[in-house]
Amino acid sequence: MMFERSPAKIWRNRDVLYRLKYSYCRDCKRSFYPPRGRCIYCGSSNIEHRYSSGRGVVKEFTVVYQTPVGFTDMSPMVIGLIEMEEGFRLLAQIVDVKPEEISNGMKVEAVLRRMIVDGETGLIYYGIKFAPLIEKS
Amino acid sequence: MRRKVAIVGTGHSIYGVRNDVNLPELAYESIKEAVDEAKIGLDDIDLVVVGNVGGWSSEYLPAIVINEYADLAGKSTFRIEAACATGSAAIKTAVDAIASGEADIALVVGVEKMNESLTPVVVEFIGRSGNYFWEFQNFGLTFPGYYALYATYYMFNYGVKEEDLCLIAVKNHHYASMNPKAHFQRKITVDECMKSRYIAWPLKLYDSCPISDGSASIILASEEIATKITDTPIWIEAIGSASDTSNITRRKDFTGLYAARKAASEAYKKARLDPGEITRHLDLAEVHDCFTIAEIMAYEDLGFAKRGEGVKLIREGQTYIGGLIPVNLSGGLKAKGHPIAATGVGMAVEIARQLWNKIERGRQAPIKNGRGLAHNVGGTGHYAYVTIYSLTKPRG
Repeated sequence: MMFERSPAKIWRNRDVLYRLKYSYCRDCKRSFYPPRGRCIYCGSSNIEHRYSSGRGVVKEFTVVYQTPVGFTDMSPMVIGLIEMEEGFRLLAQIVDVKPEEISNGMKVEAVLRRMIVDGETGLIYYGIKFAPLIEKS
Repeated sequence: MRRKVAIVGTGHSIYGVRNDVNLPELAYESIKEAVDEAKIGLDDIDLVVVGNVGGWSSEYLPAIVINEYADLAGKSTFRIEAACATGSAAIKTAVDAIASGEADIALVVGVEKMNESLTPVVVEFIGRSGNYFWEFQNFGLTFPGYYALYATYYMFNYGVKEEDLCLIAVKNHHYASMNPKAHFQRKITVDECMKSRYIAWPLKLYDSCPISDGSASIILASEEIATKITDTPIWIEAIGSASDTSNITRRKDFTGLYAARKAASEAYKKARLDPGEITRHLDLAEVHDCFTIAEIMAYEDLGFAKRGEGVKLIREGQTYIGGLIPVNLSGGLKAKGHPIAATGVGMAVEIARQLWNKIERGRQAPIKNGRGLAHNVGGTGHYAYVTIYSLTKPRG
């Protein structure tokens, strides 16, 4: 009834959803996500769109057992509030780690993963999730 | 010059799964009770404010349908929506209309039928009181998950334990068991609560309010009329209202709800109450305990306890009758139920009846100050209303 996920809508937002495109305000020097044409802090239109490094830290998290329609196969699902290196925050799934191993302040990085399978023969939607950061030596 | 406004009649349906009635029938249960209690004629009403979120029930645009069912066709009417704070927003709208002189007698009805849709649809829809597209649809968070983020903050920073959260549920079920209008009529134990399944860790099923159907109504009148109708009008002493960001990622911190703090501060200032001694002014409070953590945050946001110390109140039983301040003697959203738009109006009905000493034995608060407080939150602090009700006519 309510889900308005459509390929066209996802495609228009592909840079935002898959590459974490965000906005940087040249006037007040702050970043925010999702991007838009006006700064959320100072209202300036002197905005630059940038792409995130994908790295951040977990600030808060919860484990969702009663998952929404479309996410039921993923229960229990860890959702974290993540603060990105660039200063903006977003909510996303945290994967490849057991809930009891997660702690606030843990370093994570963005990974492209399967989000939802729309029924047996339906579309597969992908999106950004976060996994523990593996430091490259 | 604002006119003073008072409640002169109250009505409250049974909350619960109400598949026995349709939306206007459910609304009329409380409308009839309120009109009868106020002893006014329908002709006397000149404004009908309908609070309804809808979306999950078959009547999408319900104001006119309810209006006709209650034989109120011809009256000025419309629907108000502010997520779970809809009831309080509807009250504010009517109060402002009377205060400004645009209306003399207003009916406020809050009504919701949530059980016409399946639970996943309801849970998903209520998520729209946050930023649905960016935080729910694309990333899979749920509405209980929003509150769970606050709960984990309180666990890590203030030493709140899951058992503490269950103490809130136990208290509210205790009082609901004495409220014949409540959705849940059964007492529970901490053990039962702790054994219930997780919805969004650390919140469990018994930490969460149910999906309820119900309606509540009040009749509001100007000072001139209210004092003619009754010797004991319940005055609207002050309403504080505020909002916060739709994206929870843009909240500065997770220590309570900013909108609730702002609304409380505005209400205390308007009513000229000392925020540092607020519990000394009040006999009781009805607070928005959609999840148990929300009641603990409410203690702090309202100034009943210092930041991080709200949990002490429930551990010490200070929010039972006889304690510092009785909270949610109706059973609260947790156990009386939470028919979204009815909730704020239902709080007004409960407080009015408490102040009138008309409540069932066992859950009637001792009335000394003649004043009660309603704390009604929409979303996860996206909207907040704090309303002060009093037996004493406000000064000024």
